[in-house]
Amino acid sequence: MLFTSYAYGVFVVAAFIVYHLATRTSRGRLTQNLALLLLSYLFYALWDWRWCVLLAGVTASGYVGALLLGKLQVRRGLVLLAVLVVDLGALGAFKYFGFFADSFAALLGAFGLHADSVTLSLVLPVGLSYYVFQNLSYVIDVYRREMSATRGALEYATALSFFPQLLAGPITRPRDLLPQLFSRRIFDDARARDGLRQVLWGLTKKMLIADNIGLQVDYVWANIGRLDGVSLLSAAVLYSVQIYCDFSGYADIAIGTAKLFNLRLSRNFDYPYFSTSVRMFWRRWHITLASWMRDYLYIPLGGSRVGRARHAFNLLVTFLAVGLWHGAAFTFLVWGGLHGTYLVLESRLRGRPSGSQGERGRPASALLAGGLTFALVTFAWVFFRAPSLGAAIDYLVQAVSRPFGAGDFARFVPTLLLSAALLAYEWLTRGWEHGLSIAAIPLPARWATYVGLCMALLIFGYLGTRQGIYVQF
Amino acid sequence: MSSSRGRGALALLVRVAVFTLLFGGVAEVWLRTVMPACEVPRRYQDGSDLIERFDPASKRSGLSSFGRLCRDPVEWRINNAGWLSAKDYSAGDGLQRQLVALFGDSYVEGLLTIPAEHVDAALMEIMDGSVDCYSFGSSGWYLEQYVAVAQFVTDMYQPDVLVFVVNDEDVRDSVRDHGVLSPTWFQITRSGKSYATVPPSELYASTWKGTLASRSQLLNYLRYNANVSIPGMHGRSVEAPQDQSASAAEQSDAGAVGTPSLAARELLAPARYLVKRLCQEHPGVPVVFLANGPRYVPLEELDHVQMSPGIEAIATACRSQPQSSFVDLTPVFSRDWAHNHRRFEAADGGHWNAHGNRLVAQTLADYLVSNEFIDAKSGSN
Repeated sequence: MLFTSYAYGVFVVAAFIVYHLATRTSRGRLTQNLALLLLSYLFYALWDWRWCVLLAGVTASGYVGALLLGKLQVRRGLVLLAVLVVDLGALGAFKYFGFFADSFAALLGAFGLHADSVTLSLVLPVGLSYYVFQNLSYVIDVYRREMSATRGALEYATALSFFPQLLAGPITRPRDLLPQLFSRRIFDDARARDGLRQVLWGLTKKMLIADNIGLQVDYVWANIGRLDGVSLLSAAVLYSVQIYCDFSGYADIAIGTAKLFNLRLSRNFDYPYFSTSVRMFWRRWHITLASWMRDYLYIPLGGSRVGRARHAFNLLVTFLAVGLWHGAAFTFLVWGGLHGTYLVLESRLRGRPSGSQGERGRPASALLAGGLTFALVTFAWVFFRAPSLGAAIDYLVQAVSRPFGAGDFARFVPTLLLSAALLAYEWLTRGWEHGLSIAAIPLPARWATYVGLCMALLIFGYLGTRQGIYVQF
Repeated sequence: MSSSRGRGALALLVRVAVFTLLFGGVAEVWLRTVMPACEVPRRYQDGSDLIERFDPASKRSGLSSFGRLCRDPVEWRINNAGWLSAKDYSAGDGLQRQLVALFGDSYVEGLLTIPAEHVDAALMEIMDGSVDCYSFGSSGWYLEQYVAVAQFVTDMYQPDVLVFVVNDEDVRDSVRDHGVLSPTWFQITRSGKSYATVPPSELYASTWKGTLASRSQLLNYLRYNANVSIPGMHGRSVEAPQDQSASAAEQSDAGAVGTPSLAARELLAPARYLVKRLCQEHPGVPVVFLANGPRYVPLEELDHVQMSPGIEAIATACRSQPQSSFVDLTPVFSRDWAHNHRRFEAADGGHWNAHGNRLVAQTLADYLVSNEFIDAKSGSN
């Protein structure tokens, strides 16, 4: 059930009614959470009921592991290791086993040795990477004694399975979500209405902008050899906008839906394309993954408080892991490696990071830095989007070797203008929580905006036909 | 406290419902005036003749449009006999001129071109009113269904020439054993060394939800312009009076088979059977096949164009039946494109536009006259 399908709308309305009926019972919090848990598992089962078993298994590993960590004074490392093995084992089996088995066989083949590739034909359960990382963050937090283990199995299971965040995040950590689930949620009209507005804004970004741009980007990648550099460059820029609108649109829908249940999910995007450095970009793009990697990998490796070489190593390892999180493919590794390299070079040029100072300058230099950052990020997206490393190289070679020719540049003009309009609008509204934070404007104007956007979605949107890019991760 | 919270959630639901109604109203008006959504003529299937066609008792005219932007709206018309045509059909003594009966799928149905520009209308105009042409087309039909409809048409109108517009899938889809099941249309099935007809096992009937939905332009837009699948909004089938061989279990089993790609030699036997039956059921009536194919083949490559397997099977079958003849439209389209550089597609990028229809009609007229299947002056009074 995709967020952009009308089935999701029906599901949310039904869930809203059930949830708020549950609120009226004498044991409100308990029934609220039970309702959310059952609804979330139903939502997941509508994809594939067998995945619910996996979700329950991961949840159990985190819940039991954390309880043990809370009780034990010794051998806590072993418990943590066991949870890591279980969770990363599940992730590895479903997501990475085929990639490593094939790569190993290819490596042996390069030395003239023959090895049959043993590949598990497993379908990657939707959302696995997200809830495994939520689970791990909780267990590690308990291990570090940054939070205490919860006894509330219902609350913990609800936190991990909460359906709006199940498909594509945000990776809201249990330490942020659990306290909310331990208190009785009272219907908040203003928040619920803002949630609906955020959902509409998310749908607009996903269905109106990302999906329409996606058709053109798909066309370009299917016709690399026939197009000139200008067209390929246009498509690369368009893909930057597509993936942003696609993923942040999904995040807006998730966060907006959660508001209907008076729950707060973590923010995942903060106008990333207005960043003036790659470091700033990573504080604004997929914030929940970037902060997870920072807290549970980069800092444990030593972070920036080590020697230069070790710092560079830490950055590269962290961003290779970020790349690998997206999937088992060399394209994602190169994408992550590029970002790691950008950050190493940036740290060399600017010195060690020290908060947010030093990233604000005069408008002209900020514009230049912003443009350069966008160009670097867009270049890396070419590898991210490519079906293979060879295709990415073909794309770049074709773009450079035939910059001008019989291209189809005219076909990209409308979507480039649409992208520019979106970015201009986001610049103007960058102080807002989301693009439709318009509670203050008069009611007729507000409703006219809603009707206008819904009409645009009806005519130009793709209803439930194009899956979100990040759902596959 | 609790009840006021409940009221708050209820109030939000009411607001959402009010907004949905408001938006639905705006969209309905928009899709009736600014961007007319596609209306589709209502089908029905009579239990006596089992031929599915359009319902002349329903709305007789409407607008069809294509794509999300509702491009190229054209008005369709259901005639008195339940076919999409500018002309009402007369049976028996009402027929004054020689009659050409034209059969085909969506190309002959012509939902995306106005009835005055269909092949049948263009043929009558080219022949300067000396012949009548009645068309019998419906989207998705195939050769065995044409055979059945031709029998029905002969009983009703006694045509002088039978013309069938065929494409690659027509033979394959005719045979149930190939896995494509059409419970409301006629098919054939292998029977020993030959084939046997399988009549429709069910009758097409509109659901009340579908009928109600067809009155909403918003739902029409979602279904036909945006191609969104809406549960329960499709026509349903009911069991036919004389259920022959197709049990529900058989259908569901065979339905999973899919649509295999078949070679010409595998299609030749059913093609021969169908062409032979046509000729036998209409003795003395010329049977002409017009093969729809590629349209923009460069002239220098025309000699090397490989016919698709289904078309090749029909062409081969025609050679063994002197009563039948075969016209390949590929060179016709290619030559016209080379000379005029005018495209042949309607708004959907596939079906013939007015120019395509007229070219097919001109080709057909030339062929019928040159072979003396019709007398150009026979009915010019």
